[in-house]
Amino acid sequence: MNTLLVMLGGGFGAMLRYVVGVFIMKRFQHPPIPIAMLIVNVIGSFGLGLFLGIFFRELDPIIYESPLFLLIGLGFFGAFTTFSTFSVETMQLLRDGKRKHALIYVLLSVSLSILFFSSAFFLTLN
Amino acid sequence: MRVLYVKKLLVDYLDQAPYIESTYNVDYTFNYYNFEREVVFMTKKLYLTLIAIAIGGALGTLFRYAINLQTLTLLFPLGTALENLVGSLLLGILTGFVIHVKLNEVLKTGLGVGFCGGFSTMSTLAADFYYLLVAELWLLLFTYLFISVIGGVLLAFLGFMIGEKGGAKYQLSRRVGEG
Repeated sequence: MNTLLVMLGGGFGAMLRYVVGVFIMKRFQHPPIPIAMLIVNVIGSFGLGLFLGIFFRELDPIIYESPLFLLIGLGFFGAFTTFSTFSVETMQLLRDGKRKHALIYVLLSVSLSILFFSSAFFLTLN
Repeated sequence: MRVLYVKKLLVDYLDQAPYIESTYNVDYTFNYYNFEREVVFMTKKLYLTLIAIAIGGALGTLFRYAINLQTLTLLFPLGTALENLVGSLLLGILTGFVIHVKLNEVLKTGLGVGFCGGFSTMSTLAADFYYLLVAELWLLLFTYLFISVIGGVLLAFLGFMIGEKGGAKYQLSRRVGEG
C-alpha cells in the first residue's frame, strides 16, 4: 500500500513537472539561465514547506509510516522537484564556458529553494 | 475540424520537451488528410510521453523511498545526498549517450525527465537544510550542501563523458555491424 502511494505521488509529480516546465519554456524562450527547472524547484520547495509546516512540524522517522507524507511529501513534491536536471544544466552551462551564468544558476537554485521552504514553514507557524 | 484544430494547438504547445528537439517542423501544404494524421500522431506521442514520464517518475520515487528507508535513523541526510548524486550521474550519462545514439524520444523523456527527475529531489534538500539549520549542526549542514552541489555537478560531468564515450563506441560498433 505504501509503495503504491509513493509511486502514485511520484508519477503525478513528475508528469506535472514536465507540463509546468514546458509551459515556462514556451513563455520565456532563450533565457540566460535555465529558468524552467529553477521555478519548478522553488515552487516545489515552497509547497513542501507548506505541507510539512501544516502536517509534520517535527522531523521524525515516524513520518515514513504516514500515508499522507508518503503520497504528498515524499512522492509528489519529491518527484515534482529535481536535482539531476539542475546538475546537468549547470554542467552544460560550464561546458559552454558560461561560468558566471552557472554560478548564478547554482546560487539562485539552492538559496531560493531553501528560502522558499523556510518561509513557507514560517508562514504555517500558527 | 475545429475540435481537431484545438487539439493540435494543445499538443503543439506541450510538444517541446526539455532538451529534446522538436521533429514536427514539417511544412506540409494544407491537406485535411495530412492535418488529421499529424494531429492523431502527435496526440498519441504526447500521451505516450506523459505515460513514460509517469512510469519513470513512479519507479524513480520508489527507489528513492527504498533508499530513504535504509538511512532513516542517521542524523546526516545520507539517503537524499546519495540519490541526488546518483541521479546526476545517470542523467549525465543519458545526456552524453544521446549525442551520438538516436534514442527513441519517448524512452529518452521517460528515463531523463521521469526516472532521473523522480529519483533526485530539490525540495527534500531544502527541507534537510532547514532542519539541520534549526538544529545548528553547522558542519553537517555545509558538508551536505557542498557534497550535493559540487558533487552533483562533478558527477554530471563524469556521467556526460562516460555517456558520450559509450555512445560513440556503441554507434561505431553498430556501423561496423551494418557494414
